[in-house]
Amino acid sequence: MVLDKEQIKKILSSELEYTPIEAVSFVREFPAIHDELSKAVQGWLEDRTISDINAFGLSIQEYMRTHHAHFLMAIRDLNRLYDNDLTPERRNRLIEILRNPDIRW
Amino acid sequence: MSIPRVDGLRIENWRNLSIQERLGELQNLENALAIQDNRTPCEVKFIPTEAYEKPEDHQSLRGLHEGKDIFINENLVKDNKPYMATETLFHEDRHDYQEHMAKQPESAKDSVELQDFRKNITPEGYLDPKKEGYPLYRWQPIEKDANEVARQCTEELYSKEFGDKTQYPEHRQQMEHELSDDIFRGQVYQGNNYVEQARNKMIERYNESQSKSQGDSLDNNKFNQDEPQGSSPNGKQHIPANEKTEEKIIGSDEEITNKGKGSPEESTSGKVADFGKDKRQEVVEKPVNQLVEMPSENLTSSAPPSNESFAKSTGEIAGEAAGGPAGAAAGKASGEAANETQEAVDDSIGQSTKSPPKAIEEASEEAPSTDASRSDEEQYYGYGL
Repeated sequence: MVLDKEQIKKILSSELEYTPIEAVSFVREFPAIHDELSKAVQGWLEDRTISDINAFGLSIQEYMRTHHAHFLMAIRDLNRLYDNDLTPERRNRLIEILRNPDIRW
Repeated sequence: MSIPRVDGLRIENWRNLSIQERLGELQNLENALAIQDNRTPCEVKFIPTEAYEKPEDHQSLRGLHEGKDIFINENLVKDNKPYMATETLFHEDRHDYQEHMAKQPESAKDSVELQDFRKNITPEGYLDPKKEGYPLYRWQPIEKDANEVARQCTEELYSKEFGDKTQYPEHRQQMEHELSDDIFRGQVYQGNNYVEQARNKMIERYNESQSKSQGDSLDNNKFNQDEPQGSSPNGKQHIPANEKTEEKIIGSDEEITNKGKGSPEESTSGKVADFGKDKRQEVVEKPVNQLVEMPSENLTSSAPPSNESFAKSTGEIAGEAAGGPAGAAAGKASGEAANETQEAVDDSIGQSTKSPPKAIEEASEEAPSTDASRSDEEQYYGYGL
């Protein structure tokens, strides 16, 4: 799924407090979304509904909460789990890491 | 310089202290660290409840540095093991040192690091984890540096000074595990050169914002050309943006103003609710790169290294995380190769008297040194490790 980058940029700026520079940068690096997550993204783009989906056992809502991530960032991060270049071992390790909140200091 | 020996931080003493007394011992450590660099010590406090946005933050938000305050998670101080509280103090103190160095550039021993810090401590250059994601936040120069220094200092204090061989090794193991996970995550999301990626992103972000503000200034100047000199639409005296700071010497005390000084209530936002939002200081006068007017693409396309020890050490760690000794060798090689290039802007400090185009030309031709002779240990000069 390839997203409408202009729409994403607009959302980031108007709803998520991104500066224009930050929004451009975020969109530039936003990946193509795997099919497993595309329906959730489409739903969110329409009315900001966050479906109760999970990626490899990671709930997107839980991920957003524990990682201080907005929806698009959570999608971007979880989308990586579906990339073919991740071996099962690396994927499992990433899942375990992502289960825990990010340390900040 | 050496790691201050604060005996209250020994586990056998710490466990007998009240929470407030423990905080006092952390303050003693902060005082001693600051004195070594001729800094004013920060006041060490608990993180106020309002700063915890979500319940998980009580576990995951370890500390904050705001102006001249260091805030420590109360749970860490309540813990009968002093290690994480101490390591957090070292981390936050290092942020204070970074800001001190940015304001007192003569105390810096590495011009690349200095410039990185000066850009990275600004709101424009700081990579906010909520907007950029954790890996870029974790590996941006000031966070990478604070993590490294805090780890080294904690190791020095408990392993060498206190000879704590019973409880401390468990903490060390936890921190090594965290580091390994952070490296892995950096590699998965940013690639094997995740450190460079974070640094480049920071520089790019900083330069883009400066270019934009320069553009805005030019627009304003154009607008004001039609007005009588020295006046502005609101009747106040107008000083063109490109003249305002012409006399400023880069790195002077006046150049960087700590807008978030004092308590959270006095910070940039003026609200406790915004605590930690703009963690870093705000540069309010001429930015680092403005004097050389370096286009942002020049800064990012060459994937500039910081310094040899920096690139080498991270390359080795990354290599190890990627694939054991062979990976470490590859990582080391890539770190060394990265040091063969240097960005022109690295030479910009102290060139305030040059006209911008000439400065660009000279900086490009001179290809400043990379501090290749520096040892790995010297990068921790802040605390003499």
